[in-house]
Amino acid sequence: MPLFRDPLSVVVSPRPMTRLVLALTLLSGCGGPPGPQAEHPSPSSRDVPVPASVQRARVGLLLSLPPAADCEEQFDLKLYEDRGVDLIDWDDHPGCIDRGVDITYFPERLARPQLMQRVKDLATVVETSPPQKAAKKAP
Amino acid sequence: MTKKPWIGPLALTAGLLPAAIGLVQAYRVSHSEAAGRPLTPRERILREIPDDPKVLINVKYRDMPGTPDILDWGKRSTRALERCLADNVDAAIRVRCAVTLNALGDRRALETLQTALADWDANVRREVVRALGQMPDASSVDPLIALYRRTDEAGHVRYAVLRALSNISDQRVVTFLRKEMASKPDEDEADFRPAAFRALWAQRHLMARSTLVGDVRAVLRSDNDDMVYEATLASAELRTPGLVDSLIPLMEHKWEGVRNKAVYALGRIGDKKATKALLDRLPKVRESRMLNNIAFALERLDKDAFYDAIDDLATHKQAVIRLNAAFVLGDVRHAEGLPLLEKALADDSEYVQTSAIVAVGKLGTTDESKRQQAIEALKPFVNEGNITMREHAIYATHQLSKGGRLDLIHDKLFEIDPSRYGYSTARNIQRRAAIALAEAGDPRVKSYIADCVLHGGCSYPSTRSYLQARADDSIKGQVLLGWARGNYGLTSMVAALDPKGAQPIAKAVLEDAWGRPRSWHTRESLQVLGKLGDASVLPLVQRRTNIRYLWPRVHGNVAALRLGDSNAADHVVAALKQMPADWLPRSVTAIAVADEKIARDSLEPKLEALQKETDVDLALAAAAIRLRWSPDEAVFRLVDGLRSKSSYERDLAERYLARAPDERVTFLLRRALAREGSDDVADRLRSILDDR
Repeated sequence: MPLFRDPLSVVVSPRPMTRLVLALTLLSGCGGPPGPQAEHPSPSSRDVPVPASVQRARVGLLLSLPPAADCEEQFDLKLYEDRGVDLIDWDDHPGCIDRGVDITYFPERLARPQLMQRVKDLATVVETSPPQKAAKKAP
Repeated sequence: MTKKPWIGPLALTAGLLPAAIGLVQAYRVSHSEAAGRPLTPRERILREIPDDPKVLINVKYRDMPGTPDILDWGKRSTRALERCLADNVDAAIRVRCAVTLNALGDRRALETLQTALADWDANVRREVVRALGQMPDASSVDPLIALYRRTDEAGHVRYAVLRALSNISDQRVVTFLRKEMASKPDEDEADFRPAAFRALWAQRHLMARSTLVGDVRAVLRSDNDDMVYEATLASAELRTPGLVDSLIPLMEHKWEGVRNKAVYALGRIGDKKATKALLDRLPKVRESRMLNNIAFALERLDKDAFYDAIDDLATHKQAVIRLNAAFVLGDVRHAEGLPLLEKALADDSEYVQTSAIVAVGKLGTTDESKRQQAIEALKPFVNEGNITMREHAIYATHQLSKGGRLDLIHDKLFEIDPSRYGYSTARNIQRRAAIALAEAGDPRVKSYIADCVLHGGCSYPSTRSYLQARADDSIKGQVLLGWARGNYGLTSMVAALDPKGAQPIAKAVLEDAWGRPRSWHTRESLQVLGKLGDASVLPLVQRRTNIRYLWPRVHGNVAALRLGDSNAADHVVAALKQMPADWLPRSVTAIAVADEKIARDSLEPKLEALQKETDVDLALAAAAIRLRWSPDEAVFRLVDGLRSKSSYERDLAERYLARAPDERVTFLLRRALAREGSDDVADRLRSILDDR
């Protein structure tokens, strides 16, 4: 129930039932209980650290994404839903076309063909390329 | 109205005066100690603060030490400040003591502060309330609410109470704030409802989602415009379709800010129900930001409807509307906008043409023929006589060519003839071209970039790393000379290039500034000596660490750590524990510079332990330092901070994450957002990502 009432909408009625409803409404709007408290999720419903000892693999890709102002972020949010993905590391270039990206993943959780299929589902063009970061950092 | 040009400089001078006085005092204190002359009463009092809790009880205002000087004692000054607040009869001094306790953030002072809520001076009470807000504790809730409810309390104190309560996460606070929001004041009374809403919003994690949404919906319909504005911002963060019906009417609100934020929120929520209202609003738009917000919202909701609607604006009779339409077409980045932009390129107005040129450069497409079509459309403008249009056309072509037109940038912009376009215009065009060429690693701009970086004209990470990679002995010598003359923007370059003579000069700068331990010269020379890594200077650096001032102690110990003194890690941790809470965020950069393995191996395990401290200021500062070194590990402590029961901890963690410069942190935060199961934590993560 909303916290505030519109003053113009309050109609005072002599009928007892209406008075009761009105009183309850006002009570709720005057610091009544704030409802059940927010639930705190279990560790399985949040990002958790993976020990450095767990094997990781990396693939370098050149991607074009469906055009949008936040195309890179949309891609990340969908791919990260798979916990087999460790990190998606983009190049510095702006835009959605011909973007270099290195994807680190856990081969024991996510096989490379599966990863590539997920990437293809999210991108319009997918080409493999050498890891981008090493090339990018060179001045 | 007559213009008063002296008001600005006067206000600036008045604003800077306290800081200048503080610096002079600080200089005089350290100088007199070095010179060995008798101490003034103020200096004597300052010296006794850590050992004599009564020293500030009878102090006169003229003898009161400066706040930065007291803070330099760290938490050793807490007891004296408590007695000052309780027992000094001068209200102005009690205000200073409360302000200083606030900056210290030492929770041992809680009881004293709570008692001081009964102070007879309203300014003292306000500062005490602020301090209690910075040390959030459940025991402060009832005294603060009682103070707020006093009918004779000053408005600014009541306002401070609401601000303080926003930091104290407790169900009593939520209940109280909801009640305050519901009580509309009489006409002659101050309206605290917006402040109550802001405080409640800070406690949103304590409320059930449905209750929170209901409250925000009610505020969107409120008669208080400030509150409505706050609620539109909240709606954009909540992204709940249930708010759409309340947001749509606000597109007609009398305040421009409310109208814009309502559209922005509708775009963020992305509910198709808003499409018709947005389309109806589009022809009535009169502000560029509004047009942009509607375009982004529609582009998400119904792309076809957007292109139909923008067609009318792109061909509108008013040039300013055509100009903004072109801008929007570029910002949404779809190749579908190219035909409309081609029309705009032929516009009679040069401003519309320029806007269209920039927009074409932003279009994205994987279709090679469309890309070529866009490049062809820009071709006539690459040789355009209007230099602004030419400049934009060249950068747009460069972008569409995937960075393949450095020749155009060099020949037509970097080699520009100043006599044709005026010195100032040409200089800016040439500078931008040089930076673009340097970022692409073009060797032709080396001498220009060297001169520009050395004189501070284009000192960016990209230009500095370009120059570092190409520095010969001559450039190295010039970098060292510039640094020795006091251009401390070059510190990182001196440290990285290690030019011949850097160490003796840095040593000389440190020794020359020995009597001014809190000066920039001390800080920067310690940073260079630490980075150069020659252990022969360790004894000198260690001598500088033996000092009462906190910052030189931190900088000195960080340098010692980098030079191989593993004991310095304990001293860094000790300094952090003593440090005022207000100073901890600044300590992150000061300590994180020590990114060498030798330093990290000693300090990182100790910081990892500090992350578990109950003092959240200290724990999160430690995590923020580690975030610079080991983001993949440290990010979890800060994201846990966003999940804390305490809104104070949540806000602090959010600030540290928002300020972390590494792009890797952005990627890690996206991962955290994708996997986050809690709505309110996800909201915070999304908000940080939007701002990064």
